[in-house]
Amino acid sequence: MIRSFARAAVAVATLAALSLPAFAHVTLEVQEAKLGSTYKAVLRIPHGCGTEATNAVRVQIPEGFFNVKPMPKAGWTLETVTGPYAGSYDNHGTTMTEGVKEIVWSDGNLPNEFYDEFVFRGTFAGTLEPGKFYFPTIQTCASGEEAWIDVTGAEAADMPAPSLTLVEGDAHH
Amino acid sequence: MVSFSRRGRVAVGLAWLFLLAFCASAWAHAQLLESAPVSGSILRTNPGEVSLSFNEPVTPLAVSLIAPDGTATDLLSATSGGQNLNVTLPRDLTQGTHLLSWRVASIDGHPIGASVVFSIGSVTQTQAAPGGDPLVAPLLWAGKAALFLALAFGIGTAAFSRVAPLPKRSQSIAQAFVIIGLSASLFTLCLQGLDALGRPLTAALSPPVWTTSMGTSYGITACVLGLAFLLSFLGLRRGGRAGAALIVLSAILAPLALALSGHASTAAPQVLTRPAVFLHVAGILFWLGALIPLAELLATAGEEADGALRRFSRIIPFAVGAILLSGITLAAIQLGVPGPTWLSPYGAILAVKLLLLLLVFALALYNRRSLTRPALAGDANARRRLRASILAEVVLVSLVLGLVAGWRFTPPPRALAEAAVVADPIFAHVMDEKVMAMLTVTPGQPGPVSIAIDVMDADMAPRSVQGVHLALSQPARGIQPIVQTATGAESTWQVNDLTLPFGGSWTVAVTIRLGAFEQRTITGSLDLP
Repeated sequence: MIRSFARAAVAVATLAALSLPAFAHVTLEVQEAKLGSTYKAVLRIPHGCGTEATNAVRVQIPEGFFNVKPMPKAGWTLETVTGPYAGSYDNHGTTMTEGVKEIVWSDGNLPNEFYDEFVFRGTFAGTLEPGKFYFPTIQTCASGEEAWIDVTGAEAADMPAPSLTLVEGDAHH
Repeated sequence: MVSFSRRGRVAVGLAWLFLLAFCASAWAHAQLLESAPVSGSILRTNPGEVSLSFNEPVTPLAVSLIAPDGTATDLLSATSGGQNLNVTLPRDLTQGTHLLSWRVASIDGHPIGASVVFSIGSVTQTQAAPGGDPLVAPLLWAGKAALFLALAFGIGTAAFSRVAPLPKRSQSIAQAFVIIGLSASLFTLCLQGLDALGRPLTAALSPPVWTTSMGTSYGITACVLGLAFLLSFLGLRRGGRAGAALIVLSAILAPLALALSGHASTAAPQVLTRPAVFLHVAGILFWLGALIPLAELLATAGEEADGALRRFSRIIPFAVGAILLSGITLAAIQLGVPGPTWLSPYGAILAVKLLLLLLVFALALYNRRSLTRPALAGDANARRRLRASILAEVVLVSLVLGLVAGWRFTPPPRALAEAAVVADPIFAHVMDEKVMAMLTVTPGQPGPVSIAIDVMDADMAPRSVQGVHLALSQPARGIQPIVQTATGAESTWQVNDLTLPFGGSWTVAVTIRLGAFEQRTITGSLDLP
């Protein structure tokens, strides 16, 4: 009896230890959004590349998240890469066919010991499928990068892209 | 007469040059080092081509692909030659097990061939491919054995006429062997072609068989040997000084011919091996050529016999010295460093040969030390025993020559060792709908390996990517992924210093960075023996 408890304890401890690195992933603060709704993405960067400080954060804006506006950040240069959308999206009566495809905060310095958040907002198209939606993100440091671009959704993924779950929105928007 | 023999020599030299030019398309003895895909691999799609890497340049002779339904497609025209053969496969290969049968000629003239079996999708039963005639190999061995015997007792005996006048019967024996040799040269040339193409005996007269044979280096050897036998025949018939000149020329051409092709002659360093083969064969011709005339001479008492025996005894130490020195050199090169390859058929033939030679040398020593002097002194008993001993030598060396003809079919250990060093890389092919990767694991065995990764797009064209890393695991045995980042650029990547501790089925996950924000992880399996 005692032995099985001990085993269970070890198993739980091991599980906890194994799942710990998940907290060190780059993640989004809000994990769920409705289709067709506006979403404020708060990207949490928990550490640098190994021990190196983060100098740039690049976020890819996938198709279906439109009317994107990043929030400027003191000490960082903000740039966007724009381009045509594959589809067209209705923004309160205006049809949008192009917009931000990538956001780049650069020339900054976020030491490994510190934590920071990067914010942008936009709208999820009502035509998207419910389910996981990924924002592939790359942290760039002095001599390397951390690429959070795994969009397979695999449980064991080393470096999953930050994601949220899209759910069915209200029938009328 | 002197001017005649000089003219004769010039004529023969020109004829020889002509023959050389005729046989100039000679190429190299090769061992297959690796094939891609490796034989036995199961691929998800048509590999597009099969590449075969050899240890030296080869000429493709026959290449065909046998589909799962047994139909054969001739791919010789789709094969590009050199040290690495690339066989472009038809685009519309069906699912199932295919067999690529290939045959190539190497510089030493020996054709070699094998098959690469690969399956697309799954393994299926493939109809057996038609092979060559089973009679060709034994006939080729018999032909080679006849050739060697004819060299020793035809040209060798004829050459003994330079030491002592040939007695009557020896003269006829020499002539008979020279004629056998002449036919054996033609016969083996034809069989070489049949063997090279894997054709049946009934195809003996078809022109491709002969052109193929002439295309191998054995072509020159057979030409020069034929010429040597012809010269000896004419020399024996003609007699006199002109005849003697022809015989001498023949005795030079014969070892030269053997130095032009064969396992030994093409081993590196050729500066050493070719002269060694020449000396070896020349020494043997002198020694063995003397046996029959000596035996006949000893049957009759007389000045002639004594003179011949005396001169033979004076020269033979040099000939035997040359044979031993060159023989040891060649054996050392051919055997390479001691190892399991010494137990190959090549090694077995060498061992039996050495055993027989030990007996021959024991006899020769006994003849020399115990019998020669009393025989010369007129001891009839000693002469009789010397004669019997010499005849025993003839039988033993005939066995040796027959044995040596079997070397035609056994690659020497050095070639085996070369092949073993990089043998059997393992291939794995992984793909999804957008990108695929071909992995080559070298060597294909547990332990330290390197893995080459070739990235392609869905149309099999090289795909330039930003990075690749591998994760190898054995989930069934609870072995967590061994992860390694590949180095390289564009479509060619490489993982070195990777150790795969066990054999068995490894799950390999290849993560390919297609762009800044795009990566794909494709999973496949890798079966390590």
